[in-house]
Amino acid sequence: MRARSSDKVGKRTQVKMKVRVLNPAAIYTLWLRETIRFFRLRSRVLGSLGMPLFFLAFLAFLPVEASSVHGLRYIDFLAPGIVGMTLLFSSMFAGLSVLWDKEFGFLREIMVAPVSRVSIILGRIAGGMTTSLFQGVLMLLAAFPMGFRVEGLNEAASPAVAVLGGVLLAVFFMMLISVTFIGMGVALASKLKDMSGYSLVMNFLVFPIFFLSGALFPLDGFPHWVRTLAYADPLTYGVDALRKCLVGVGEFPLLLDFAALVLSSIAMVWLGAYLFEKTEV
Amino acid sequence: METPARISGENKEVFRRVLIRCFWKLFRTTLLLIPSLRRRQQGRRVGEKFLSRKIIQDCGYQINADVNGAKNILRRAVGYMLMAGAVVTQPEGERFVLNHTPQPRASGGCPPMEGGGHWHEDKMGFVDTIIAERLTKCFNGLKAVDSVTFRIKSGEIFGLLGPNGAGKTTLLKMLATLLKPTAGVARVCGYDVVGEADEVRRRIGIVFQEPTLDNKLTAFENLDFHARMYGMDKETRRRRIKDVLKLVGLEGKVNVLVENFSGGMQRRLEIARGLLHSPEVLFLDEPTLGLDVQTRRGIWEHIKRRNEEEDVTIVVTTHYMEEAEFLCDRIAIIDSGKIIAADTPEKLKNSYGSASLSITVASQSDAERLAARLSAFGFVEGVSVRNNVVDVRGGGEASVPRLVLAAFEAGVEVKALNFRESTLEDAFLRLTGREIRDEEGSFNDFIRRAHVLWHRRR
Repeated sequence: MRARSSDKVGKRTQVKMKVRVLNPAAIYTLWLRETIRFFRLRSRVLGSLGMPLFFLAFLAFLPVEASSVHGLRYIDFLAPGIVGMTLLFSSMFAGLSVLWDKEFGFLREIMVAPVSRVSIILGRIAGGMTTSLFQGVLMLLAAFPMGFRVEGLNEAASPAVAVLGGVLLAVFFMMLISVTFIGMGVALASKLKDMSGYSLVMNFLVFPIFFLSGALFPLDGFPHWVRTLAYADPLTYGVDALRKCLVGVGEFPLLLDFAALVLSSIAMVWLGAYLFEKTEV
Repeated sequence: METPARISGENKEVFRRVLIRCFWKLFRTTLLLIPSLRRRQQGRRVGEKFLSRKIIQDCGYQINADVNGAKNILRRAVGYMLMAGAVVTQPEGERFVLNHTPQPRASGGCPPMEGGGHWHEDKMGFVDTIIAERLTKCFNGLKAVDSVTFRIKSGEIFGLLGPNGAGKTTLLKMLATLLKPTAGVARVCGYDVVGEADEVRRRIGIVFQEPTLDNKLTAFENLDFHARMYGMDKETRRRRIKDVLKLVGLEGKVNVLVENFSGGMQRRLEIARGLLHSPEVLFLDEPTLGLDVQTRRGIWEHIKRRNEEEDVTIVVTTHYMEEAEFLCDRIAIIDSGKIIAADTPEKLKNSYGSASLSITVASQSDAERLAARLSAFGFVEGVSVRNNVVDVRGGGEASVPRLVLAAFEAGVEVKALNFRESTLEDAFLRLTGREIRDEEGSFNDFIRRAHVLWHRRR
């Protein structure tokens, strides 16, 4: 009897000593750090919101005919796209912040901690998702004074359900978009040595993704090869899903958007985790 | 009538179990797609049963056995040998071959180790805290650390002293699990730095050469981050953070942003953070680089006291002689990736430095007479005469009476004696040569270092 109980104790301590692959405490810690930093650096938040805000403000008055944008007013077409853009930029930035940590040495502090690499990635994703979701919602709110109206889902029973369901679904899709691009950012940051590659990524990856996604204009009239490229762009599905949820019009069925985004986010997180594992600091 | 019902019930149970097992297998296989999990799986095997064949081969052993079981036993034996700190003495390229000869199993534990130690199966019972075996790291074909073998005892302050670019930091990073060795093995607290990296990480603290604090967080938040990452509960966190801040004299700056700290304060905070989770081993990479004399003294005192009071094993890299001499129980002098000497500072000074004694006598003729007599002593390395002074190099403090006695016997009147002790710097220069080293590093490193120095000076 006694032997058995001591055995039990031994087992318990052993379990406690083990380093878990999924470590919620560490994920929470990393999330906490990210959010504290984010709200401490208010100028950065404002700065990062500047560009999409001006895109929205200036393009909202573009004299575009309703027929060319799926029969929508241009502001209704544009706002979900700009939200997508905000998410793209802020998520990419969150992922690439691994590079900042590399530059300022804090990554080493993270890497020597007895926390699995998977948990580190998940912590960063959790933190980045929170901050970019915050910015995305802020951008959505900023669109209302410019005349943006939420119509909600098409097939819903009542207008209230349509709007509420649409917004909640939109937030869910925002999460998927940001996970995809945080994963991409982490993958790139693991491959880049220092901040000098940052502008390269911004100009040759982020902007093409943005323009190909159809956030600013519909891609109907473009040549075939451009449209093919656009179909390979995860943000295309993201923006399309946001449009469908918020104003009820979209190019693809919502299920296709969902499948594409889930696939891309899994692929990107996997790639990010894989490359991050290999980094040596 | 009862029997079929019972059987079907059992079948159900079996079926349920098989199904669960299948799902579990499937789940595990899916999980193993994640690289880190897979590595953990392999790592566990390395740690618990035997070292992998590759590691054993890297260490210069080869295993010959006809039966697989015997092979495993031999692998395990080599693993224990390495864990217990067996040093490979074979010249490079040759293999130490273990042959399996079937014998009745000996009863009563492991045989005693050569040199008085014991074989330990228990991971915690090791004599040596750090064991490095032929540790090698190559960067693009360039050997930064070249087949280094050493051991560090528990409770020791061990110094790695070397010129810039000697491979000190690379060695430290390998021991701290941040770099994977190209070849060789290292064990810290009994755990392999590659296969059981997480176990090693849990037991070590490290203070890097460059600052690794988050400037946008306060001192408390930085420490709290660390404590949470090491899985400390709320009460322990609060208590330990208070303790370590008091230890380094920063208790008044708890809620100040780190970017407002001076270089010395940042350094102290980092040392506090390194000690926060009560590590068994503390690695310090150039702990006082670019600090002023007062701060440096203070940090030395801290390091010494932590070692004495908490019995932390400390590994410190430096290129300051006085730092190594003040702090370290043992010093390894490392140059171009190889350890060229390792001993206590005293012994290093005595065997590689040169103490010198100047004997002033009455006249030059006396001096020459004395010089001729003194050069006959075996321990004297060189004798020179300038005017009425004889300079004798070699020997040490203990040789002074014999030299003076010799002068007395020769009938030479000694006017003055001037003994100059050998310094670590003498020993260091003698071992590493006098040419100036180029530091390997990118322009970026240079900028970062400049940035670090600039911050510290403020």
